Amino acid sequence: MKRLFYSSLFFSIIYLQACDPASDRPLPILGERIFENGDTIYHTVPDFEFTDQIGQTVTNEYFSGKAYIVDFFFISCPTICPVVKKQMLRIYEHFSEEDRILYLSHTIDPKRDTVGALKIYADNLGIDHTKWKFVTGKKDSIYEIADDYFSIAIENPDAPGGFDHSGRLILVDENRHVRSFCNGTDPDDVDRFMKDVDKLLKEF
Amino acid sequence: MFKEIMRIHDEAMGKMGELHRVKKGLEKLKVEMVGEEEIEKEFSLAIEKMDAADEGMFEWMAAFKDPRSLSDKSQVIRALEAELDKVRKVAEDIDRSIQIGDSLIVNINK
Repeated sequence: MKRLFYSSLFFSIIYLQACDPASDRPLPILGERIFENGDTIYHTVPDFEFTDQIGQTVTNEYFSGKAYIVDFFFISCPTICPVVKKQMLRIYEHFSEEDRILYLSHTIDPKRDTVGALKIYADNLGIDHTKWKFVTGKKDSIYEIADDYFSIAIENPDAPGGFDHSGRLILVDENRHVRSFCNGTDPDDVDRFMKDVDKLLKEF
Repeated sequence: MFKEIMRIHDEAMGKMGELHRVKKGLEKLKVEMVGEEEIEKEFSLAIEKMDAADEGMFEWMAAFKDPRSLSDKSQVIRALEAELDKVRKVAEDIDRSIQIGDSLIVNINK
């Protein structure tokens, strides 16, 4: 009888997990959408051009056909960035065998975070320079693209504080759509985010 | 005191996006104000203040060294007090420059 009870319980759990609509549902495309002639036009990450840690130009083309994870940081940041970078590194290591995921870290201190400084920083993290791009550029361009990403990833634009130093990580799909984000200072939220990455990879 | 320094820093850093948005707004309006020398000058000054405030924060961070590892306790307190003063000044500059920029935009749009 006891055995029957436990096996029923086991199959009920499996059934419930298999039927959980939230786990089957694809990730939403985030951001504003326009309805035009019966078509839905989703927000896409705008064109960008930055310079990476090995001095090469990086544009959207580099990420074509891949998903990528974005963050904003600066090397001398004493508080949030090191915590976020640790989490980003955890994601990077978790998906180390996965070549459909790339990483893009924008410095918001281009004056001090030069190409050479970014190279040393990336080397110290021990990452593959082709998979994880640390980019610099004009400060205005960096803030413009940050505004674009975070206009989507911010829950409440009127909230005090601001996003530039929030430690958010953004997941972009192969079609330049933002699909998920998380608080990069919160390991639990990063765990949830990694499940979203898995979910996105299943769409490929 | 160290926590307070970092709290001020984090709060001020959270305003950088706003600073850049206001600056962008000023730059856009400045282009439309060609010929209005006084207003142009005022706008340029406000933009300069914003750039200086932004740079002030990054300069402070690049120079910041956590003094808590020093062996002399009184030295640690003195160094932390000095850093607290510096970061307060940097945060005030950011707030003030945003306020000035904002009020210029509001006034011009009246």
